[in-house]
Amino acid sequence: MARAKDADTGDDLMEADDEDLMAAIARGGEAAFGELMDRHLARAVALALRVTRNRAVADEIAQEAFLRVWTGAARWQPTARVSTWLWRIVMNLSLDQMRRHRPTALDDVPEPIDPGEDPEQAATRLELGRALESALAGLPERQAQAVRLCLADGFSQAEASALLEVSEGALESLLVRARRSLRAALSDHDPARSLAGKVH
Amino acid sequence: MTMMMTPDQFQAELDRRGPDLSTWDAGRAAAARLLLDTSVEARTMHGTALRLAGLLARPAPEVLDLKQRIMAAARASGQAVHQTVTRQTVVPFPTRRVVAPAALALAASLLFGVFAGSSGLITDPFGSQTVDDDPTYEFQALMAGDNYDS
Repeated sequence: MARAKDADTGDDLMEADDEDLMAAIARGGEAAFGELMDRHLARAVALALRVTRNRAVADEIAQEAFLRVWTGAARWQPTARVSTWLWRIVMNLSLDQMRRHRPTALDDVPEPIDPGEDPEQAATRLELGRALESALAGLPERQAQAVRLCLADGFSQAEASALLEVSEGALESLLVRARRSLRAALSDHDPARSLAGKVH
Repeated sequence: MTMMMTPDQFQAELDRRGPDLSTWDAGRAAAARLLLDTSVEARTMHGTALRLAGLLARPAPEVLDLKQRIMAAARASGQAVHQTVTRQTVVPFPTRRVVAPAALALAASLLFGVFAGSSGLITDPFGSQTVDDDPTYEFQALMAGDNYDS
């Protein structure tokens, strides 16, 4: 597959950092805009989905956020990381949406069933999933937010700490405490099925 | 030399960094691998951490269609593309070359006006100065529309 290049400079966009991409977008660079979406669009949707719990609404929010990037790239000042700015836009749009509409309760959304999965395995997975949700619900709010951002949606600790407005050290502390609590909660469920012996 | 790690230290690192050893710094990762080779307890810890991470991780949402929709909407907005077109096709207005001489001319005319007024070269045509004493009376009367013959 051909690597995306900046139309003006010919630079390899996959090597460029987000700030370079913003500069290229400000010059009308569609390839740079596409590269920025490849890097961040999925997590923008995941973040909006996390707040709104509605995929269609999350898509709208992500679209609005990226169109703001497109139209505002020329005025953007690198006082913060591009991703941090983007997550803030997504979060603000999501919270605005939440103020206007109540979300669908997560419990109302049926768990997807994999038709190829062994029924016993499916039952175990569902049981563990419920145990995990229950354990997450029992965590202090900041710990749960840190877990959802970093361990579920794949945000880096730097990005999550900016979103939660805590230092990276404080975020790491939240994650340590959360992992301990979740591990303790899950140890009551099927400890014999642990993945002992699997080395990475 | 590879550092040594106990199972308790390994558990603390798992809680801190998660079970993906490739994200750990090289020294700690090497010590962890050494421990995993020899300790059943460490392997159990690692397995539990992997299972927890697997349960928590969500697959990234599919966004290919959305990306295409956003790109189409961006093209329709034309905002950033417009900048490129403008830069290439519009001849820049020579602001400095036109405005600076005009400003100098205006300043010179103002100075001349002040000088002419204060030196008496031009006096107030509606002023109360005595006509008989004023050598420029005829000129001033013409400017004011007076018929000095009457």
